[in-house]
Amino acid sequence: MSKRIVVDPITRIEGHLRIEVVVDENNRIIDAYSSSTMWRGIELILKGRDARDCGLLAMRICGVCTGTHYQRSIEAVEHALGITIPTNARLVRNLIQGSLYLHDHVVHFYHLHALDWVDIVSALKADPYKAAKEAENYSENPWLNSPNHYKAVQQRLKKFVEAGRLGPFANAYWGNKSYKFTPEQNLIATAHYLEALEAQRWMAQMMAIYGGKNPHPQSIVVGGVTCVQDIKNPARAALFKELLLKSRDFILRAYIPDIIMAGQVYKDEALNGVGAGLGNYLAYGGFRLDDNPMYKGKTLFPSGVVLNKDLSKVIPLNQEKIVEDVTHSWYRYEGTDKPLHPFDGQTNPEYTGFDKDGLLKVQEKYSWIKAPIYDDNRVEVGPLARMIVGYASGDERIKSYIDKALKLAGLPITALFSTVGRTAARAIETWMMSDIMIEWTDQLASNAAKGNLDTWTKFDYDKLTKGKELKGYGLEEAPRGALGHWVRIVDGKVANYQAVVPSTWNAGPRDYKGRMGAYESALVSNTVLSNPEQPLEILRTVHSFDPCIACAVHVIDTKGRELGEYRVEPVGGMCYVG
Amino acid sequence: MKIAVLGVGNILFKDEGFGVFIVKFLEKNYKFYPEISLIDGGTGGFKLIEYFQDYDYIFLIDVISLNDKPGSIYKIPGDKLAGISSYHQTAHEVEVLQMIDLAALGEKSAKVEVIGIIPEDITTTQIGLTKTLEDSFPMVVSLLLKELENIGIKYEKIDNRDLKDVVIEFIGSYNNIRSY
Repeated sequence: MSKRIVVDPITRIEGHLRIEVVVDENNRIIDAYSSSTMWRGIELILKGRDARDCGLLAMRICGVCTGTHYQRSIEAVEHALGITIPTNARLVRNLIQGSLYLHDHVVHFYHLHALDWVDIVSALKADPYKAAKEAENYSENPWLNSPNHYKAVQQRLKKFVEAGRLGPFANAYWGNKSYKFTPEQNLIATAHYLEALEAQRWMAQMMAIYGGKNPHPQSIVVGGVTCVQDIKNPARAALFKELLLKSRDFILRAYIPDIIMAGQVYKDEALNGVGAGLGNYLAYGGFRLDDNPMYKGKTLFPSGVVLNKDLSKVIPLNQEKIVEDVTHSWYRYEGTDKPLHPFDGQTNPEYTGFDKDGLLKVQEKYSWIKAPIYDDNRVEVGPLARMIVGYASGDERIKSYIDKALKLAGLPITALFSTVGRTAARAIETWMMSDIMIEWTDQLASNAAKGNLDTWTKFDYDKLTKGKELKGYGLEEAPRGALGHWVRIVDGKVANYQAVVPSTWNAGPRDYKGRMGAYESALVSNTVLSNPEQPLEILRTVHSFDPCIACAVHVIDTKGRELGEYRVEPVGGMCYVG
Repeated sequence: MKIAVLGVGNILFKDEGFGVFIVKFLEKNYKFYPEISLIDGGTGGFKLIEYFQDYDYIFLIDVISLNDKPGSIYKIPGDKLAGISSYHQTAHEVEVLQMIDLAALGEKSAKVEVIGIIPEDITTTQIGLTKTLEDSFPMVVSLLLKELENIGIKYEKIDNRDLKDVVIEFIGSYNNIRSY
């Protein structure tokens, strides 16, 4: 008898990811459905506005990727106008986006994903002396590695437990059999979890140096960047570099060793392709390395598509082959039943609800996310896709980082085709990013020292747009994967605007041929639940994609707690001042 | 003491923008002594955690989900909300409450006071509040000013801009009114 398990973190109707899986009598996942809200209404807000203002609004789509939507939106407009930004602007944008990578990836691993692998309660049982020895197996110079330090971490944990302030550690699945670290390994990772709370601040500060304040950056404009004062000031550049080196130190001595440790301990899962998924990978490519016009130069991450895990072949990317299908999505297309390219995208809601048992109507429509298709293939995007496409393209830099990491973990390249591999790929690219950012920082400082402070390409907006219809797209690699913004500008005003975000590619439902999306496919890849009451393996695989679904709307949810005593009554003395 | 008013929410969805609009409104109309930080936290996300780590006192302005009628205002001490969020119930980016919990694991974290309002409409795609929340807006402003006074912050009214005006200057439109 098969049964359906619902992992439904819905706290309200809108805004969350819901996973339904079907397991057989051995608790093996035999079917999976991913359903979510992905708000698609940005065009309603942008229509009629000056295209130069798109960035400020587009960044409000999401709280995590504000900066990356901001940049993509501005680049879509630059592409439409045919503007190439100066070297300094390119470097600054790479540094802002690179800082975002470091921050997102470190935070993702430790604060959003680690508890899928690390059993905090087990860490309390660890021998701190053995832990300090164990850490040396994964790094020559492990981060804050001493028995006393680990003892202090255990004390801190105990305090949280005694005070009943478990916070993020409450209600987890401690003791589940699929936690495989020893108590000592759990202690090492738990210590890093707490230290990453501090380390992530350095990366957030880096973003703010050239980007302006978090979470909504403001230093990028159509044509370049506005932070010339920060480029000119050697103290700002020095501070940036200092923070970068500190961050890199944490990445090399904590994050990478922890990933190597996970790779060794969870080796069987990796080799057996647990969570492998579609095996098709797409990257738009990103981080421009030269000053050629957009999409014509060399990029840190190559663009392309790899199909069926075939590393011998990379299909060149052609954005015209991207379409979105709504067969299983709560939308309807007017005038066609064929999937549409984002330039022709439509957003007409057609909500058909759940079945009488409160489950998804999986034969019909069941998600607010559309199903993106590339040249009639379902694909995965994200760090793993970037690493796979880079590796298959023969990119020397990417290959060297992948080879180093695999050698340390003692695993073959095929181990990447798994949930473990997806999580490792994110760490590998963080390592690479933290190195190349040093080069970009030095280039920028050297330009400034030579008196080159050019940060903006002059253009005459009215002349470029008057009486014309222009189309452009901003395609780049956001931390979570391929992100595209498409804009059509008529007479200087936005006529149509569509964004296809990474989680659309990954979390999308089945398509018109009934083919699964990336999450769905990954969940049915060789996954057995060790305890069907605790969907730990499901969360592990879904989290490995770094889902970003819930960003659009969020309300403080009190989960039914009685808080009436805190109500503020409209009484005298509360009258409006002024 | 470092004090901040942190307004969060998504300005693209009607009443979701409440917290951000409060911050923008204070910015235009008041001056505070000693100075405090008025932060547009927007759609939140993990990047707000630095504020919970850096500040001593944070007034968090947001819409809240509670069983009461739209426009009702609540002032809830942050620790009353501790532990509500839990890691394994969510498969996505952390929410505001999770961030408060996470920040509390560190060496030092802010005392948080939540001033929350029950929204009426957070699904329509439009910048601007519903009439119900517009009506409650002045009360939240005066409540907040009073709270700040209670902890020794003085304020001066420096302008008389209304909400609609402030939002249009900030982002170009308010409900059906557009500046373009």
